[in-house]
Amino acid sequence: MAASPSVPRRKSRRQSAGAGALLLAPALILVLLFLVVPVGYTIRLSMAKGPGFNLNGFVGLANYQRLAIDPNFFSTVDGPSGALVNSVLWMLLALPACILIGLVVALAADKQKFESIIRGAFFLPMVLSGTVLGIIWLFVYSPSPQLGLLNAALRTDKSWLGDAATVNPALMAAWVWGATGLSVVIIAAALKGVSEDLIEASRLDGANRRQIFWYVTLPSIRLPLSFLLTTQLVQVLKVFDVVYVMTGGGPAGASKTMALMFYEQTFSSLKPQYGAAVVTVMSIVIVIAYLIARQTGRDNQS
Amino acid sequence: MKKLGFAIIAVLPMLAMTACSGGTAPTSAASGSAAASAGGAAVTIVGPWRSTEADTFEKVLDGFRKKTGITVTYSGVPDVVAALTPRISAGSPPDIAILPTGNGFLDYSAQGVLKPLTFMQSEMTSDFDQALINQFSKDGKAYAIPTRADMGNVLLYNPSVVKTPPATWADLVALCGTAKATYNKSCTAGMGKDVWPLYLIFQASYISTNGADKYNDLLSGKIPFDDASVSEAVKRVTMFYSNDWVAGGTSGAMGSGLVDGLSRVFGTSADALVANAGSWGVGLVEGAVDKTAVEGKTIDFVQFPYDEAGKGAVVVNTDAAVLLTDNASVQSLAKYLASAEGQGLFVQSGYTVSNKTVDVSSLTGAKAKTANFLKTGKLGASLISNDLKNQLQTLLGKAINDPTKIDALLKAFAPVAAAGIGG
Repeated sequence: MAASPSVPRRKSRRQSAGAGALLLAPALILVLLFLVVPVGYTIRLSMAKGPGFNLNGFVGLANYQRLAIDPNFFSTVDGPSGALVNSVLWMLLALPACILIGLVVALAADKQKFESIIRGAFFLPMVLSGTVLGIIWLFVYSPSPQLGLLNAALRTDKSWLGDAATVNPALMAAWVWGATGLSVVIIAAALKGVSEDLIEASRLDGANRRQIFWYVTLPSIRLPLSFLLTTQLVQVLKVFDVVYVMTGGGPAGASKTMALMFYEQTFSSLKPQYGAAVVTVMSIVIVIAYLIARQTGRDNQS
Repeated sequence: MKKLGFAIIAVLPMLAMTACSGGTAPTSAASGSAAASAGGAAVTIVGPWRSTEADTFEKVLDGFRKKTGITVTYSGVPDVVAALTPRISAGSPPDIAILPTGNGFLDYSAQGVLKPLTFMQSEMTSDFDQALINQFSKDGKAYAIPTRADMGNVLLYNPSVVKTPPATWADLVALCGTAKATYNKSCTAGMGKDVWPLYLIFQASYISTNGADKYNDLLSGKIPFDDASVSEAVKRVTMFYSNDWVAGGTSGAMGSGLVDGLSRVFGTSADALVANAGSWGVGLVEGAVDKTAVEGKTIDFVQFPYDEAGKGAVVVNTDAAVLLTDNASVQSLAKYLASAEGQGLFVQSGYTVSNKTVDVSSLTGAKAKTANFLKTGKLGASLISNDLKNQLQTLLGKAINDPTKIDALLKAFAPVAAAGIGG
């Protein structure tokens, strides 16, 4: 009788699971050490009495209750104001501006002669740190027409950063200038993937440019747009460096964001427990906004 | 089996790397001291002085090093509180920290991380004004050494423009009423963007209106923040920053930082007559705004315009040295930093100090004037916690934007201040 070829023994499920767990272990350990533990510590700190960074005492949700009535965080006196309101404003204004400008520039430069130069020019501010960007725009907004580019152009001596009505749009403009480059690059790359055959077919069917953009181009780049939206959403909700350098949250807290309030409470006011409560709420807001954005993206796709 | 073996071989190095990387053991000993030196354990200091100020402090430390042979390492940082807090929490603080204007002292003393100066209490009592000792004391024990000192309530002006500086508040009101007509300039320069100058001008306004005793009572909680005296002081701050007085208008002043504000009085395109700062402002102008400034001719200062009750009252801002560890070397350095010998080396480099036994005859110009104020004035020396200071600064910003809300803002702030005073 001829020898039969050896049949590999079916690996047991337990062995497969064990090997899988072992391979995942390093990543899981890193996630545990650098994500789960710090998050847990922060939440626990937000419920501690202090002082310092000690986890002494347990005050439950007292810091969150204080936050709920803290006018520096949220107030409706004389209209909505506070760090939470400012952060939401950033999300509603700066984020769409960043993506829309990126979309317009990418579309305008697509398949043009100097496309790479235009993309490079818009990407250049991205290499600057938030601190450098803030210092540059401090000069741009300087009230003195001899120094401030904007006031020299407008022939005025307005204090853009000293006026509560203009400080937030001024800061957002500086941030958008620095962040739009990423939008341009990602959307430009996505546009390269739009099927020429689809566009040609649409044209033959009588679609105009607007219809081609709305029904062919936009759906084709929806996935990269969705990625851009979620990543920039997180960035805009935790904006800190530009605001810190340019205004420190002033005038009188008019430009204070949640991240800045966290920093101020933890390292200036030396109330790390309260700062931990601020950053915990900030993280929850970011997660909720991210989930909504992601779900909206999925709904549109389906 | 073979696949499992390969998996283990693949994973083990990664596990080893994870275990070895991101070590949590502090690189320095818990005391923060470096290795022992010839005269005893080495000492580390963290402080706000950098560049030329750090050079001066190194000269002061050289005196100690030569005398004792103890190694002392000083690090200047932009923000002492932000640098110190994580180190204290991690259990590796420096041996000594210099808190600029005592910033953070109340908070750290509430945390119980500061070491008392009981070993040198008698020297402190004989060499320092009691108001300064009280400022940095808790339960009868001193916890900080006042080192460099400046006067906080001054009005800077250019004598070549303003021949007769305003002495009283009424004089300032009169000056500002005619500034545009007489000088074709705005009266005052603001610096609200940096935020802390708002607290500075509040201190100046309150002590100059009410005197040192009431000032100390306010900041120690004996006078509530919704008292009429506070309301009046805040009103004067809003007048200083009002559209009628301040260069650039209120929003311009709130958008200008310290150097921008001083430039409006002393710069090449000066458009204001006076600015509020500390006596250190003279050096800042000479260094950063107008290097050709001549003390007494193009830059000078007077006490912030006062009422009779506040005449001669001085807000004293001192940089406080606090001990975070306690050993023989640290105590030795602490005594030296408090001594006339140690602080005298600051004076030789042109700085005013807190030790009243130091010979200041070598100082000239603005420094001599400051030293005289510190020696002869009634000292307002009180601190509030950083948290309260931040809240008060925000309140002042809101009051400047809308002076009609002063009383409402103070009424809301008063219970918060009462709860928070003392740390």
